[in-house]
Parts: sequence; C-alpha cells; structure tokens
Amino acid sequence: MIRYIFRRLGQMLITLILISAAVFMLVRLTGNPEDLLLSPLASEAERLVFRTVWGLDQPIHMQYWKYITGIFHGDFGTSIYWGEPTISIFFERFPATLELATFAITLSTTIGIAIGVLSATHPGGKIDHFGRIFALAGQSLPTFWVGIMLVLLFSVTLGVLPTSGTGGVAHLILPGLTLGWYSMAAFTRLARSSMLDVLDSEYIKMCRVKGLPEHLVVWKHAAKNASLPVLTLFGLQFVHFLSGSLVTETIFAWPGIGRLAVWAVYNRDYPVVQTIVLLMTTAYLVVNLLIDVIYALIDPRIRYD
Amino acid sequence: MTEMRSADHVPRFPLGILLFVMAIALVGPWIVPFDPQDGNLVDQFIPPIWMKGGSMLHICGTDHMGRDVLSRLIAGARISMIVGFTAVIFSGCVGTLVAITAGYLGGAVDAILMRLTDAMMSMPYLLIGVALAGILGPGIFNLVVVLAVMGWASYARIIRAEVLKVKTLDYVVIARITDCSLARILWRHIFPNILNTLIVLATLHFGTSIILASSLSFLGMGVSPPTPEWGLMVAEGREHISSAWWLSTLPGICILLTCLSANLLGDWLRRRMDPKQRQRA
Repeated sequence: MIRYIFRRLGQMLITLILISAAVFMLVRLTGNPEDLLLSPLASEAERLVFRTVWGLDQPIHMQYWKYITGIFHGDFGTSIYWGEPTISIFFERFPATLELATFAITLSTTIGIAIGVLSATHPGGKIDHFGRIFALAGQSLPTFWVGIMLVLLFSVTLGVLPTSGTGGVAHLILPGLTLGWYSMAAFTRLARSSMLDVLDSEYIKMCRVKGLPEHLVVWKHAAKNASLPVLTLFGLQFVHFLSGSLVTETIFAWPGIGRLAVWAVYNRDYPVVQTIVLLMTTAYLVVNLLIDVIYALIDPRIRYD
Repeated sequence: MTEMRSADHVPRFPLGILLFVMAIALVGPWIVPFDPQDGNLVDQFIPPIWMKGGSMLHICGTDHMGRDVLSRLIAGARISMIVGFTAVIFSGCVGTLVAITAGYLGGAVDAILMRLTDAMMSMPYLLIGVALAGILGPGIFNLVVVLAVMGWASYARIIRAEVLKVKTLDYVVIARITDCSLARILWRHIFPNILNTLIVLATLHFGTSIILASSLSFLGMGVSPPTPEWGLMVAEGREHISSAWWLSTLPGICILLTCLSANLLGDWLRRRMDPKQRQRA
C-alpha cells in the first residue's frame, strides 16, 4: 500500500511537470503580453523595462526554471493585470467555487441516488423509465444551455429565482442545478446498476428470507455495499465541480475560480492561468489518489500491489 | 428483457436524426433561405412562425441583427458536423496509433506511452480545454486541434487493452512465426479486431466533441462571430433571453438532438458488439 501510494505520487509529479511545462511553453509561444498591456505608443525604453520586470527578456527555459523554483518557495507568480500574487487572487475566489460545488454535489447525489435506487427496486416501473430518460438526457444536454433554459423558466417566465449573482440559498439553486445536472444523471445510472447487482446477491436473499421489512433490506443492508462505486463517483464529481464550473460561473456571474479562469485566459494574464491550471490539476490528482486509497481501506478485497 | 429486445433493432429515431443532420450539413449552402451571416436590422427580433407576429418568410424567426435563424441553424449543422467528424477522426487515429504501438511493442515504449495517457486522462478536462483554446485563439481549425488533443487518450487506453488480448491469440502468434511483416500483422490481423471497439468509442466521442466544441464557442474560445455555430448562437441569444427566447432555445435543441442521437446509437452499438454488456443498463 505504502509503495503504491509512493508510486502514484511519483506519477502525479510527472503529470504536474508535464502540464505546467506545456502550459508555460504554449502560453509564451502564442501571444505577447507586451502588445496587450502596453499602449501601442509605448517607447522602446518602456518596453525594455516591462520585459525586464516580468523576466520576458530571458530564454524560455530560464523563465520556466525560475517559475518552478519559485513555486517551491510559495511564489506562484504575480498577476500581470492586478500586480498581486496569483496565489492570493486564487484563494480570494476559491470559497465561492467551493460553496457552489458543495451545494451542487449535495443536490446531485441526493436526487441522483434517490432516483437510481428507486429505479433499481422497481425495475421496469415508472420511475425506472423516467430515470432512464433522465440519465440519457443528462449526458446529451450541454451545461450552458441547461443554465440558460433554467434562467428562462425560473427567472424570466416564473420570476421566482434570481438570474445571477451571489446571496442566500435562492442564488445557489439555479447555478447548483446547472452544475449538478450532468452528474445527477451519472449518479442515477451508477446507483441503479450497483444496487441491482447487490440486490441480486445471496445475502440479500437471506435478509428477505428471514423476513426483514423491505426498507431495511434496501437502505440498511444493500445500500452499504452498493455505496462503494457511488463513493468513487462522488469524489470524482466533486473535483470535477471545483475545476469545471467555468460555464456555470460565467452564466450566473458567480465570483469563483471558473469565471476567473475564463477571464484570465481571455485577457492573457498568464501567471493567473498557470496558477489555476496547476492548483486545480493538483487538487484533481490528490483527490483521485485519496479515493483509491479510501476504497482499499473500506473494501479489504482490494489490493493494489 | 426490454434491454435484450432493444439491443436487436437498429434505433431508427437516433439514426434518422443523425442522417438528417448530415444531409442538411451536406446540402446546407444550397437550401438556406437567406444568407446566414448577413441580415437586415429592420427585420430584427421577428418571432418564429407559430407565434403572434411571426412571418412566413422567417420560419424560426430572426435574431438581434435581423439574420434568419433557420438559415443560421442550417449553416451551423455543417460546422458542427465538420468539427465533430474531424475531431473524432484525428483523436481516433492518434489514439489507435498510440494504442497499437504501446500494446504490441510492450516494454518501455508501452510504459512511457501509457504514463502519458494516464497524465492526459487525469487532467481537469474543461479547464485545460479552455486554457488550450484560449492560448491557440479562435477558429475552426484550432477548435479541432483542442478537441483532438483532449480526446485521444481514452481511445489509447481502451484500445490498448484490446490489442493486449488480440496479440496473444494463436493466429497472430502464427503470423509472427511465419515471418509476416510487422505492418502486415498490425494492419491485417490486429486492426480488424479492434475495429468494433473503435467504432463504438468514435460514436460516443462524436457527441462529447460537439458538446465540448459548443461549450468552448459559448465561452468565446471556439469559433468567433459572426460564424453560425450552435454554441455561439446560444451565447448570443443569452443577452436577449427575456424578449427573444427562441434565439438561445432553438440552437440548443439542435445540439441536444444531435448529441442524444449519437449517444443512443453508441450505446446500441456497444450492446450489439459486446453481448456481455446486454444485461447492463
């Protein structure tokens, strides 16, 4: 197990170095921040100062080396636009994204699992059919369109929920639904199939034979074993929400990482883009590793070595 | 039981829709009633034909620039099809090449290629896609590049597993013993065996590509205006959502129907080609 964790950590490091190098190179190959941030009338002397201040006058591998060594000292770079450390900009925005992601995951797990389990316990029934259509539609609907349609229905036509911005729970519902929609479908599918598998097993038959009431069989005995794959999906979806809320945050003007990322890419604020990509990928990889480790701890049959 | 039955018939509805969209994409330029990129500001915000104030001339209404929405939807079909197909072909080719090389050669090549694949697959998808698209700049070609870069890894991983299985089959071993050339073994003996898996993956990837492409366009990182791209049309219509709901709704329905059809067809193909999958939902 320990060996496995170390091997995975090594792989993570390689992935991170690859990604940071790729983003670093690409970003510098395709556009010059000089042209964007300085006035076209700037003198050659001003340009020289700008290049020296931002280290753009050095060869690219030296710039990368400086960047990497900086990270180990907690220096992720400075935003070209705001002139503040990117790391503090990142953590200024992070709570909003975390709040949205937490709400979305709560929403999608409760609704998704409920529909999935009910589909499994009543196969071929109305809920099962609904769940199947729901799961298929969830996969094929673009997030940005779902968001706009929700706004059209609940804000424009019914006028019950705000279109954008932050505030109380009311402000969370539409973005939460938009972000959670896709995984709600995934949870439905997975909960249904793993519940069906477990309900088919010998020990569940035993529970039924000894006359346990159905709700105890399903929610106490079957749910425990059926929850393992769902737990994996939970972790995956949660990091996915943290790093993938770009569209949702843009639609609802949510002041989080997603909107910051779109803004930074659009305005070629390289250091900010790099920091977001690096930190979000790290979070993604760490959570993936944690899931695999927790999985092995919960289910003693799983061994990675 | 219902799953068994539905697995045996070609799903007509999704296949029909896909063929229809492809046909529209092919003949689009000859059947558009109006120029999709040019409108008359006098005609702006005409609602669709079934609403009050609708006009026979503009069946799906007009947008904020007075452009005919139906013409734009038709022209958008072509763009979505081009983007979807080229993305699938590019990522499919790269992924298959990586898979066959890694799976057949094994050893250090396999280890390096698969670590690379793992790295690709463990990245936050949308974030990297947006960063890449933003760096490369707008345009259909760049969009396809982004989709190909983001898409090849899943082909590589799944097809490699198939190659590993096929590689040990007797007739492949015999082909090797009888001194078949490497190219011949790979092309004549390995490739036909992974074709099924490749087709299923490609069909499912087609839908995902169209969604990712339109999401990028929606965020302003895909194609740029005034290109009639469905995602971009949804984005442009968003500003007028309270007065002209059809601008965002109609292109979204087009994306939904196309992707839903591709996914349904892909699911059916998967059940069809892998009998073990038939019992599963």
